[in-house]
Amino acid sequence: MSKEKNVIKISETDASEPRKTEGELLRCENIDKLFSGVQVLFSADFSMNYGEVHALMGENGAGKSTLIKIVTGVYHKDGGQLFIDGEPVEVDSPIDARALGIAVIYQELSLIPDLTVMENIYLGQELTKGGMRQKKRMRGRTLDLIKKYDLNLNPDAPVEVLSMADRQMVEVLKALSQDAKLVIMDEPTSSLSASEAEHLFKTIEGLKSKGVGIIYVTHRLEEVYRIADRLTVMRNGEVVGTLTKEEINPKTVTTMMIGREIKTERQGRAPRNEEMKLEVSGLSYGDLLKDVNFTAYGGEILGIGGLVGSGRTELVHCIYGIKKPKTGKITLNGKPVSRSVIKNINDGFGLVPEDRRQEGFNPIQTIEKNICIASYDVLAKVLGLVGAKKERIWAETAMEDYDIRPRDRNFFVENMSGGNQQKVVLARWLARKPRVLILDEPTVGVDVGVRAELYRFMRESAAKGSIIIMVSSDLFELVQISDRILVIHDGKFFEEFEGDKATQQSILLASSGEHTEEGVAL
Amino acid sequence: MKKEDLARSFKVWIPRIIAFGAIFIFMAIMEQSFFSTSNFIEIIRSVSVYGVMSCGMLFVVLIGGLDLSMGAMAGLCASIMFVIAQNGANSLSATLLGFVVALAVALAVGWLHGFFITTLKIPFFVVTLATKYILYGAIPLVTAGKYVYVRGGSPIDKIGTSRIFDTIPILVVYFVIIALVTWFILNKTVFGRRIYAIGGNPTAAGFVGIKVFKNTNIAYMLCTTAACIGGVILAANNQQAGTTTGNAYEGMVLMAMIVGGINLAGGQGTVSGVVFGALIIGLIQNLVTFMSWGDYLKLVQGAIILIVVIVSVVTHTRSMRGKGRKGRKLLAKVKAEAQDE
Repeated sequence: MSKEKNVIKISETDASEPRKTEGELLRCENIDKLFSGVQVLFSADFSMNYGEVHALMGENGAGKSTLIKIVTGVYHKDGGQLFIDGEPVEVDSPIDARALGIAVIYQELSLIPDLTVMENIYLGQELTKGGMRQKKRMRGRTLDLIKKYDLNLNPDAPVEVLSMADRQMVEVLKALSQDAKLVIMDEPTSSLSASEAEHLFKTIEGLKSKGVGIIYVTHRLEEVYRIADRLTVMRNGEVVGTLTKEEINPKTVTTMMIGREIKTERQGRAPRNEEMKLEVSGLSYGDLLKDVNFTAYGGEILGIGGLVGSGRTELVHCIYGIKKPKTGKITLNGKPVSRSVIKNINDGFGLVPEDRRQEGFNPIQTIEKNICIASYDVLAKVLGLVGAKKERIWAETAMEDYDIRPRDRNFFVENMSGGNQQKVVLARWLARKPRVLILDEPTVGVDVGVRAELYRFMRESAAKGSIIIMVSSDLFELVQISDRILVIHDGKFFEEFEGDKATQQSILLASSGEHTEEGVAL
Repeated sequence: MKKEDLARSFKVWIPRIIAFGAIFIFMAIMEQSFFSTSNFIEIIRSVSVYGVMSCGMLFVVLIGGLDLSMGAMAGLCASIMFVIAQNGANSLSATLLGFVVALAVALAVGWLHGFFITTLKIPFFVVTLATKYILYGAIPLVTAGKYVYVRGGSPIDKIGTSRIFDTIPILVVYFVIIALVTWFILNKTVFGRRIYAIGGNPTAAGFVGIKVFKNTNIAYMLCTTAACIGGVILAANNQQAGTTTGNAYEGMVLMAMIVGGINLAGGQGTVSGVVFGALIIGLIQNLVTFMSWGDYLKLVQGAIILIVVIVSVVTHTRSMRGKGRKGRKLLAKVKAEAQDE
C-alpha cells in the first residue's frame, strides 16, 4: 500500500473540484465475518446513494456494529467486497476509511473539551507554515465550512460550553473537513433531549441536500420515520431486507426484526399475593418520567420493558431510594417507602443494578464480604460488632443455595466469570429473603446455563411471596419470564401485557409508541 | 477451613519475615554497634511513631484517599499540648487539657478534610496539601516561634520517656495499643467492613446503602486523631515541640503503606501490613543513619525504599495478571471452575 493513500487532505473549501452528489456511494456485497470460528455476519448486502439517509436497525447482536466496523476498517471482513463509487476498494484500517471519505460519529464523543471548535476540527492536522500554526487560515476555513453546511457554531467557542447536540455538530464538521462523503452515526440521539435531537435532524437534512450520505444506526422507530429515506433491517447477522420510505411501517419493521417467534413452555406462575403490594402513583423524575402509576404484587414477576434511555432504570432507582423522584408516592403495603437506601434494605428491598461491574460488586473483596455487605443488620446486631462465624455461615449457605462457583468464600470476585459474579450480587439479596427484589438487566453478559438458574431463583423467590420487578431489554427474556409486563414510552407506562399474551413484537411496538392488540393501553 | 486460613497467613508472612531478616542481618554485618541497647531503643522509637501514624493513614488509604498533612498535623497537635501544659505549670490537669484541645483541633481538621473532599468534591490531594501548609504555618503562631521544652519528671516527660522494665521505651506500648484498636475496628466492626467496601467500589457501596460521605469523613477524622497521638508521643519523647516536630513524616508513612502492601487505590490492606511497613521503614532509616553516609543519607534512603517498592509492586501486579506461579495457579483455578459449569 502506498503511503500517499494514508494522507488525509483538508479540502480547500472545495470550490476547485465539484464533488459527486448523485449515484451509488457505497455497496457491500456478500460480507462475511467470523469471530474465532463463529460466523456473525452471513453474506450481508448493503448499498446506499449520495444524499441519502439510510437507517440501520436490529436487536442487540444483530450485526449492525460489525457491519459498520467492517466499513470503517476496524474489523477485517472474511469474505465479500466493498465498493465505493462503483470501484472495488479494500478498507484495511480506519486510516484507509478516512482517506476514502468515510467518517464515524461515535456515541462517546472524541472531542477535547478545553479546545475551541476550530482547534478540535483541526486537531492532529493543523495547517502549518514553518512549524507555526496558521490560525487565521484554519479559522477562515472553519467559517467557510460552517457557512456551507449552514450550522450555528462559533469557531472560537471552547467545546466544553457547547450542548451535546452542538458537540455532535462539531464532530460532523470535523468529518466534513476531511472531505467525508459518507458519515456514519451510531445512536446519535441517545444522549440528546428532544429539542436537541430535532436540531440534529435539521443538520442531517442539510448534509443530505449537499449530497453527503448518512448511515443512521438507531433503536428508535420514530427517528426512522422522521429522517430516513431507506431502512435496512438486520437479524442474527443477516440482512433481512431493505425498505423504502413508503414501505416503512411499525408492523413490517418489527416483524423483520424479530422474525418467527419461538415460544417455549412457560413456567407456571404462583398465585398472586394481593396482601403484598408495592404501589407507585404519580411518580415523575427529571424530564424522563412524567406520570408513572403501577402496582406490583407479591408472587409475580413484573417485567418492565421499553427502549434504553426511556427511564426504566431511573424508575427502579427512585423506588429503591438511590434517586429522588420529583413528585409521586411510593408505598409498600400502604406504608410509605423511605427515601433512604439503608432503611429500605432493612425493610426488605434489594436491587441488582444494571451495570454489575460499576454498581454491583466490590471486585477486590472476597465472595463472602460481597454477599454479607448488605446484611449487617442481621450479622452485627450488637454495637456494630461483626460475628465472623455468623458471616462465614451466612456466606457458605448462600453459596450452596445459589450454586456459586468457585465454592471458596475467600475467592476474589474480580476473578470470577460474569455469570457467577451476577449470582453473588443476587445471592446478597436472596439470602435476606427480600420482600421487594428489583433486577435491572439481570442477564447481560451471562451465559445460557447461568441464565436459566437466575430465572429459577427469581421464580422461587416469587413463589415465596416476594415482589419481583425485572427491567430488561432482552425481549425474549421479558416475554418468557414475566407474569405481567409494563412497557414504558414517553415517560409513562404505555401498555400492559399479561405474560401469556405478550409477544416480542408487541412489546417492541409498544416501546416505540404503537398500540397493539395483545396489550391493554394505559 | 481453619487450616486454609493459616496457610494463607503463612504465605503473607514468610516473605515479610525473610525481607526483615535480610535487612537485619545486613545491618549486623555492616555495623558492630547495631546490636547495642541504645540502638534498639532508637529503632523501636522511630518504628513506634511511624506505626501509630500509619495506622491512622491506613483508614484514609483504604477508602481511596490520602492525607498529606499528617506530619504538620502531628507538629501542631504536639505544640498545642506543650504550650497549654507549660502555661499550666506542667500540672497533670493542664497536660490533660492540652491533649484534649489538641485532639479537638485534630478532629475538626479531619472533619474539614472529609467535608471538602466529599461534599465539595475537591481532590484529596489538593485539600490535604493545602492544609499541610496551613497547619505547618500555624505552629509558630502557637509556640510564638520558639521551641517548647518540658522538664524531666513532668507528666509529658513521663508520657514520652518512661521505660518498661527500665529498658523498653513506652512508645512501643502506644503503638501496640493503636495497632490492636485499628485491627479491631477494621476486622470486627461493621464500620471496618464499610471502609473496605467504599475503597473497593464506592458506587457499589452506595447501592447497598452505605453512606459513603459519612464514612469517608470518619476515616479522615481517625487519621488526624492518629496524627495527633503520633505527634504527641514523638514530641514527648524528644522533650520538645516546635516547627520540626513530625515534619515530612507523611512521606515516610506513605512509604510504610506501600512496603506493607496497602493498595493506594483503596480497598485492600491490613494492619499487619502496616506494622511490617513501619518496621522496615524504621530499620532502613536506622541503617542509613548508622552508615554515616552523611550528605548521601536521603539519597540512599530514597533508593532503598524505591527498590523495596518496585519489588512489592511488581510481584503483586504479576500475580494479578496471571503471571508467575501464584498467578498461573489462579488462572488455572478460574478455568477449571468455568469448565465445571
